[in-house]
Amino acid sequence: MQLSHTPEEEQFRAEVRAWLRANVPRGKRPRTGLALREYDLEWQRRQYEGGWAGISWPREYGGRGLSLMQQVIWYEECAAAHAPVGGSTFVALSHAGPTLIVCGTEEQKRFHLPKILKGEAVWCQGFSEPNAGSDLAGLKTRAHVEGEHLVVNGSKIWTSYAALADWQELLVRTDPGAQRHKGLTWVICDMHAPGITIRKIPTMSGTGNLCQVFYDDVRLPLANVVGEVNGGWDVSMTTLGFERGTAFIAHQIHLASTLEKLHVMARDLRGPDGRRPAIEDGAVADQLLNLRAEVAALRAMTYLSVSRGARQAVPGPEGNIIALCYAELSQRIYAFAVELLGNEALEMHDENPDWLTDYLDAFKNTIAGGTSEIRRNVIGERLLGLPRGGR
Amino acid sequence: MIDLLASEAEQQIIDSVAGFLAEKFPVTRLRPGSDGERRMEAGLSAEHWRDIASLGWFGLGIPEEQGGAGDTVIAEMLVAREIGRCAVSPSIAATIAAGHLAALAGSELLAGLMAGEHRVAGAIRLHAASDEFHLIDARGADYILVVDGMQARLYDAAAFADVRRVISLDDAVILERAHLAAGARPTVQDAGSNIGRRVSLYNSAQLLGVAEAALKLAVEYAGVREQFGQAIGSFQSIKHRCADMAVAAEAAFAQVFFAGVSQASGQPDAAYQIAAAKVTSAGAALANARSGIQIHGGTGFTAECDAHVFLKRAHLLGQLGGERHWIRETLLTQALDDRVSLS
Ligand SMILES: Cc1cc2nc3c(=O)[nH]c(=O)nc-3n(C[C@H](O)[C@H](O)[C@H](O)COP(=O)(O)OP(=O)(O)OC[C@H]3O[C@@H](n4cnc5c(N)ncnc54)[C@H](O)[C@@H]3O)c2cc1C
Repeated sequence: MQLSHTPEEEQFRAEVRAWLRANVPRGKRPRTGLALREYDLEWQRRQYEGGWAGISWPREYGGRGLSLMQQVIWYEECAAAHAPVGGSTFVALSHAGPTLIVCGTEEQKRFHLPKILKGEAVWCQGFSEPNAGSDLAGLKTRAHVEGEHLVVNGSKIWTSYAALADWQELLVRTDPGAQRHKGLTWVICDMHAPGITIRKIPTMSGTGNLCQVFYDDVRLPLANVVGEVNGGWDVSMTTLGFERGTAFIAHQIHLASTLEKLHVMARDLRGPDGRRPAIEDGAVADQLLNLRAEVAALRAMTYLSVSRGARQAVPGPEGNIIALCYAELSQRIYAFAVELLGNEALEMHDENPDWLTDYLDAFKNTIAGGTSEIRRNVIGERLLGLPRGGR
Repeated sequence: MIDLLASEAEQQIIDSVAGFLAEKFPVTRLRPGSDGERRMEAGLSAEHWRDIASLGWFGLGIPEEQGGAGDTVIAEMLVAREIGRCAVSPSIAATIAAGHLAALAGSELLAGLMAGEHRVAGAIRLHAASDEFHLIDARGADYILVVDGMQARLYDAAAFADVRRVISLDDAVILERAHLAAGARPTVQDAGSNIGRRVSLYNSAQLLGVAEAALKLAVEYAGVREQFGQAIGSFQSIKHRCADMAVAAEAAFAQVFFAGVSQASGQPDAAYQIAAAKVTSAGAALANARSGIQIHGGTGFTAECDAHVFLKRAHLLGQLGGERHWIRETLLTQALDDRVSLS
C-alpha cells in the first residue's frame, strides 16, 4: 500500500487543470433532445482535439494508453472545473468502448473506437426488456441467422438515449432451445437500420431520455457480433463489469463537489428554527458531517477500484459494493438537500443543475444498471459465497 | 372507551367519497397520454369544484344549527384521507377548514363556503420572517388561508400581489409565488388554535392516504410482476420492504386518528398528539412513496407509473399543516406527565 504522486502524475494533473480552465464548456447543458447530443459530442470532440480523449484506452485505437489513475486525475480535475458528467456519451465511453477493447474484433475496434473518442458517435444499451430487467437472462428479443446477417425481432425498454444514438449494445436470443444463459448474442446494432422504431418514455424527473425500441426484421451484419454467436452472456458480463465497476468513477468524484455545494447552502439558508443559519442546527450539522465522512469513504473506495483495475482487465463482482454505496449515498445527499430547502423545495427551476431535478433523477441510481436488491444479491452470493436464494 | 375503527356511518362516508374520487379523480388521470400530455389539467376546474360542493363535504363538520351536517372532525379526516390517496387538490381541505373558521367567528362567509360559492386555497410562508408565500391551487380561489404556528387567518385573495406561477414539484397542483400586501387585514381570524389544529389533522389524514395508496400500489405490483419465474413479492427484500411500508402506514393510521379523537373529545394533550400525527404521517408518506418507486424498478422511474405521484404529494403535504417549528415546540416542550392517561 502506498500513496504518492509521481512527478509524472503531478505534471499530468497540472496540464489537465490548465487545459480544462480554458476549455470546459460554459453554456448550459440541455437536458434532452438533439441539443443534448450536440452539446455532449462537441465537448467530446474538444477533448479529442486537445489530446484528452480515451486517457486509459490503447494508443492504436486513438487513446492515450495511460493508467487508470491518470484517468481518475482527469475526472477529479473535471469535477473541480465543473465539466459535464455522464450524458449521451456515457454508454460509449464507459462500457461499450471498454467492452470492444476486451472482446471486439480488430475490425470492430478500428471502426468504432476512434469514432467514440472523436465525438462522432452516440451509443445506447439494449439489454433490458419489458419482461427481463433484473432477470436479464430471461430476455426474448429473437435473432436468427440468415446468410451473412442476423435478423432481429422484439423489443427493448428503458434504453437511455436510444432516440439520440447511432449504435447500440444489443443483446438478443439466437438459440431459443439452449439454456437461458447459453443462447444469447451480443451484437452491435445500427440504430438507423430499417425496421427500428423508437418510443420515448416520460420520466418522473423529466430527465433520463428513456425509450422503448422495437425491432421488426432488423438486419445486422454477422460481422457486428461481438464475441461468438450464442456466446453473448460472457460479453454482457464484461459490459456489466465495466458498468458496475468503473463506469461511475466520474459520478462518484462529482458527488463530492455536490456535497460541497450543499455545505455552502447550509450556511446560507435559514435552519429549521427559521432564524439561524441551517448549519448551526445540531441535527443539520450532524447529517452534514456524516455525509462528508461517507463521501470521503466513497473516494477511498474509488481508489480501491483503481488499485484493482491496475491488476485485472475487467472489474469483478466487487464493483457492486461501490456501485451500491454510490447509488444510496447520492440519494441520501439529494434528499438532505431537499430537506434543507424546506418550503423552497416545492418549487423546481428550469435550469441545469437544479436540486429538485437532481433529487428526482437520483431515484434511478438504485434501479438502472442493476437494482440495489440485485446488487445485494450479487454481493451476498458471488462475493461472500452465500447460498443462492430461491429462484 | 376507545374505538379507532370506523363506525358503520363512517364507513359509509369512506365508501361514498372513495367511489366518487375513483370515478372522477383516479390517480391514473395524472398519467401522460401517448402525446406526452395529460388528459386533466393541474388544479381543480370550476365545474369540479361545483361537483365536490354538491357532495356536502364543505358543511360536513359544521354544526347543524349553523346549517351544516353536524358531523365530527373524524368524518372530515376520512374525506381528507381519500383525497390524499387520489392526490386531489389540498384546497378542498383548506376550504373545509375555512368553513370552521367562519363558523367560529360567526362570519357570513360560512353559507357561501359550504355551498361551494367561495373557494379557498392554502398558502405557505417561504420562511418564518418572510411576506412571500407559496399559494397552492389558488387559481379561482376567493380567499387564502394562512396558518402561522397554529394561528389561522383567512385573507381575501386580492391581498396577495405579484402573483406568478412557478414550476411545482408536485405538478398535480398549480403552484404560485405571491407577496402578502403590507398591512393587509385578514377577513376572518382565529384567536385560538382550533382551526390550526384542524388544518393539521386534515393534512395528516391526506398524508396517511398517500402512505396507504403507495403501499397498495406496491403490493399489487409485487404480487403480479414476475422475474426469475416468480412474483417479485416472493423475494424477501421486496416482501420486507412491503412489510415495512405496512408498518409505517399502520402507525400513521393509528396516530392520525388517535389525534383526531383526542381533539374531538377535548383531551388536554390533543396538540401533542396532532404534532405526533404530522410527524408520523409525513414520514410514512415519504418512506412509502420512495419504496414504492424502488419496488416498481424501471417503470417506477417513469411518469407512466403512478408511484412518483405519491412522492411529490408527500413532499407538498409535508410542508403544510403544522410547520416544523410548531412541531418542535409542541413535541419537545410538553412533558409526558402533562398528558392524561386514558381513563
Ligand atoms: C433511468 C434508467 C435508465 C436505464 N437505462 C438502461 C439502458 O440504457 N439500457 C438497458 O438495457 N437498461 C436500462 N435500464 C433498465 C434497468 O437496468 C432495469 O430497470 C433494472 O435492471 C431493473 O429491471 P426492471 O425495471 O425490469 O425491474 P424488475 O426486475 O421487475 O424489478 C422490480 C423490483 O423487484 C426487485 N427484484 C427483482 N428480482 C429480484 C431478486 N431476485 N431479488 C430481490 N429483488 C428482486 C428489483 O430490485 C426491483 O425492486 C434503465 C433503467 C432506468 C430506471
